Amino acid sequence: MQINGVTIDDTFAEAFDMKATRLVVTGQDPWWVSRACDALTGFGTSVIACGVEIDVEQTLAPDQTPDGRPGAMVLAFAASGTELRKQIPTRCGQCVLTCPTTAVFDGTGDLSVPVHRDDPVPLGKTLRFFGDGHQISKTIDAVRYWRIPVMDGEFVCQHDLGWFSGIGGGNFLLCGDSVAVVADACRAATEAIASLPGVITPFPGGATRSGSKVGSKYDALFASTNEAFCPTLRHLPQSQIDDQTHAVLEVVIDGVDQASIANATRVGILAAAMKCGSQGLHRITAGNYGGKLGKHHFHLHALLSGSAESPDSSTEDASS
Amino acid sequence: MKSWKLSLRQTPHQRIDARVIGLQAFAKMTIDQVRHARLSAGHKSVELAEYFNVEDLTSEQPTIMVEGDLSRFDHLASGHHGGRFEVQGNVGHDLASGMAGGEVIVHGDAGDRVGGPVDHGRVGMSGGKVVITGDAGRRAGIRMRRGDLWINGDVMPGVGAWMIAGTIVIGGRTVATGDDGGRVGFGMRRGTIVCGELSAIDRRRFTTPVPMWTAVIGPMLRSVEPWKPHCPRVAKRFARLSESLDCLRGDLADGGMGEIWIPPKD
Repeated sequence: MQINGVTIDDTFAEAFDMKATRLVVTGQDPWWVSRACDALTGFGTSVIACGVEIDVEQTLAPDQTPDGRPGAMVLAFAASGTELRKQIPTRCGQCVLTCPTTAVFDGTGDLSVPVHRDDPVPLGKTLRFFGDGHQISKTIDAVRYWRIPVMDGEFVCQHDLGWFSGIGGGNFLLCGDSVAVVADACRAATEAIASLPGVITPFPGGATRSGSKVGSKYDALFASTNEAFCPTLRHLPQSQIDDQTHAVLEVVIDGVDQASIANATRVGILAAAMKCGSQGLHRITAGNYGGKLGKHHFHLHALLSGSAESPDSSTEDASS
Repeated sequence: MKSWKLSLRQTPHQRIDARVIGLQAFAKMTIDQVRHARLSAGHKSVELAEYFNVEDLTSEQPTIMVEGDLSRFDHLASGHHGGRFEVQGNVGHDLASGMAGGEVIVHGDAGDRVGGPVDHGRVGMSGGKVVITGDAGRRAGIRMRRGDLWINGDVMPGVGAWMIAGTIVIGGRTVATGDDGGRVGFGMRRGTIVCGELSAIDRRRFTTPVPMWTAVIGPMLRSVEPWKPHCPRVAKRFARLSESLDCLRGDLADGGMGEIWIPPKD
């Protein structure tokens, strides 16, 4: 398959289940919201070492937030519910509670996927103790909020957050004849994906150059460089680099459901191909582990030809 | 759960303890058993059917609808803990005493001690929402522990007295009979009273007003939206406070964790 001169490999991206939640961060103005989100989502690229993969899903206008102020929706994905319940209060406590004018609310209310309220992700349940006894609880329409006195007035947050089973590890790889071209293609792809609901691209700028494989020759590591796509290792028998390729970058997508990731993959690939197809981007492929790591498979040809069945069908395979 | 409609047939000469009228009490009764339920009238008891016509109702949620001037009926919705209790008319004292959940709506005025304790109990309502479209009597929300009490009209002195927590919103005036400002929040430990301008407040018991803004006003405003037709002045009060408010903390004689929200002076 070719799109604007770019070869699309007949392969699939392999993604896996993760535990996820969605927060709404609000503030006095977009600048403070942005500062809070920068801190909240910092060091949140990969569960390999960050605990969660976390990023801003979309910005919100005042009429879209619980307190009528500007805000942002943040998606967070973790390998386990335990890690999610540890990371969210820690990050909110150090990055949002500390940020002037902000508040945090549960953003899972309008998700289309089943949201679990049993064993929820603690937020105010943990952070309230910062109030040292001066904190005030307020229950409004069966939702419990905590008001913690701070130096600019009050920090308000919800008692806890719902969680859901999300999907992490959706991906596609952009191969080109120079780093500059592939970086441009990445930017086009992630900018196109940024406007889509239900997905995040948690790596810096939405892409990673350190695509990884499972395992390592070193016992202490459970992930290591994906030498099959390293241009300088093209002499290795497992290399998947062709002669024209001198740089590869990977766009990684986490989403609330299979449909969101499938749509983001399609939109991202099209944007990259249309922007850089004639400039040196010549191949787009995807990372998988032979189907053994994750149950969600995103077949590129099927996604791009529009022949994919609905992700809601019984199969977990987005192409079949 | 069943739903019921009770229509007042005649106004009693004496006060009636009407605590037996309730969704939970009626849940396992037939319509005949409801008609024969006994109401306390002083030292005597009378059949419910003596004062009310009783009908079955079909509704989306468990509901009791009571129609008529029930000013002489006390303890209506006492212990209510689910579903909707709606009164088209005035009610007597101790409405929603010991209530724990659900909704109580009175399209009229209420007597004293709305949402207070049952009899001589120590704790008032512990959950749910009470909406009074008219005025309320003395000590509304006395010893209230949790939940919402919205009064669209005026309140007599003692609102929120010995309140433990919860939210009381007064759309009208807090009436003062002396020079004590109506003893708003006297002895309150926690909780929030939202009201208009206070004529006076005991400065030994409450702090001076401090300008404040809190993000929970947003969810509060949203929660009042569906109730706007019933309590427009309560909705207006919230809307006004969402712009700016002054907060007094007290009762300082009892921990000082309660708060009274008032509009800032222009």
